[in-house]
Parts: sequence; structure tokens; C-alpha cells
Amino acid sequence: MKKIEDIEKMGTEELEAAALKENIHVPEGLEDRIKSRLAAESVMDGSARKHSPLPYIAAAAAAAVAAILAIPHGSPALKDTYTDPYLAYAKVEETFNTISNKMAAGLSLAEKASDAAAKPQEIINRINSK
Amino acid sequence: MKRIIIIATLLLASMAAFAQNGKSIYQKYSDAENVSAVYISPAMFRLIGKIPDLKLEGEDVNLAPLIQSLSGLYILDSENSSINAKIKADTESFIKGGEYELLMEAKEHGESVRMYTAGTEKTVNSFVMLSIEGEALSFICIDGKMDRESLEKMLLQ
Repeated sequence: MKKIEDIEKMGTEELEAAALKENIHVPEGLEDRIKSRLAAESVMDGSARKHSPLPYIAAAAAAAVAAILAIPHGSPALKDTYTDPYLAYAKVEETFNTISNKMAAGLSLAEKASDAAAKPQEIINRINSK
Repeated sequence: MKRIIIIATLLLASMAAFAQNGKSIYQKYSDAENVSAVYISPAMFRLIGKIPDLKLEGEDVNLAPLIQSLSGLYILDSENSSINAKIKADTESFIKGGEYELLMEAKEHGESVRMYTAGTEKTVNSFVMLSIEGEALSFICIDGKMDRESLEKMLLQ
């Protein structure tokens, strides 16, 4: 019987030759089981080495949730400036009037511009008609 | 780690952009110095809508349906030049980030007025007016589900 130290010193070919000399029964299907186990391990190693985006997404989501919790939420509810609906209505009416006046001023500018733009055309038409 | 920081930054940036609207601008500047502010809530609009025969002075327009469709009125009148610049920048930022389109722009005698609306062909979900004249700035934001035709008819009266 060889000692472990001696076995460790042996080369691959010597080990194979020694193994063939021994009359040991190899269980049926052992080779297949070893091969499939090795294949499974290599697959596992490969997938572990790939950079899965899942941890990044999870970390980003956690950061976003933390940010949402950190930001002062739903700033205090706004308080109505008026408690009387008639006063509030007066302000709404004033606001609509302001917007309306500004819009009228803008439209009047646009009309002036279109009148000015029409004059050269009028002159051209007069010249052409002569 | 870099990816985490980039993703988190993008998420925060999109949240910040989403948070910008008329209400947030009002909340941000309504307490500032030399700024007067007016807010009318949806509940108050419902109350106003119950006032019988709402009509604009001298006009024959029934305002009740339009008023009841409003969900918020935010007005800021500022005479604080440093705040004016910030309100203008914030307004432009949320206009660019949102679905607003320019309704009208007019510049005359040093006054600049811009009006924007957001919504569909038939409905206006938000109206924003920014008017600047010298040191004075006026910001008006009206939110709601306004019938576009009624709103435009009323504003053109």
C-alpha cells in the first residue's frame, strides 16, 4: 500500500497505470455524473462572473426611495387667501380682466403689424395696376 | 458604483422636474420679500361656482361653468428683482419640461408678456401668464379642466 506522500509524487500517467492495475469496480454512471457536475459548476461560475444589472437597479431604487423619504414631502397645504367666496370671485374676475387686457394689447400689436405688412403689398398692387 | 450614482441622479432629476409646476413656484416664492401672493383653492372655486348669475362686469358671459372647472389659481406679484429672475427662470424651466405651448407673446414699451397653455384641443389643463415690466413681475397660473373655447372666448371679450 502506497502512502499519500508517494501518490502525490506520482505523475498522471503513473497514476493511470496504477489505477488500471487495481481491480476496483467503478460504479455505473459515475463518469456521467462527474461530467454533468463539472458542467453545472462551470455554468454557475460563468453566470456569477457576469455583471447582472439587478444589484444596480435595486441600489438605485433604494437610493430613490431614500431620497423621496428625505425630501420634505407635500409642503404644508396652501391656505386660501380669501375666506369669502364673493371676495375670491372679485379676484378671479380681476385676474381674468388682467389677462384679457394683456391679450387685447398683444392682439392690437399683431393687428398693427399686419397693417404695416399689408401697406407694401398695396403699393405694389397700385404700381401694377397703372 | 458609478452606475448607481448616475441612475440615482437621473431619478432625482426627473423627480425634481416633475415637481415643478405653478403650485411649487407659488410655494417657493409666496413668502418672499416684496412679493404679494394670492391662492384660490378648488374648494373655494366650488363655492364661487354656487354664486348665482356669475357674470363678468359689463359682459354677458356666464362664468359659473368655467369657474367650477378650475382647481387652483396662483398669483405672484413681485417687485423684488432678484426674486423676479428666479421666478422667470423657474417658470421657463417648468414650461420647457411640461407640455405647454406658447399661446401669445407680446413686447411693447419695455413690457414683456407671455402666455402658455397645456392641454388638448378641447381642454386647457393649465394656463400660465408671465408678465415683466421693469422691476415688476406678475405670475399667474390657473389649473383646472377648462373648456378651451369658453376660456378663449372669455379672454377675448
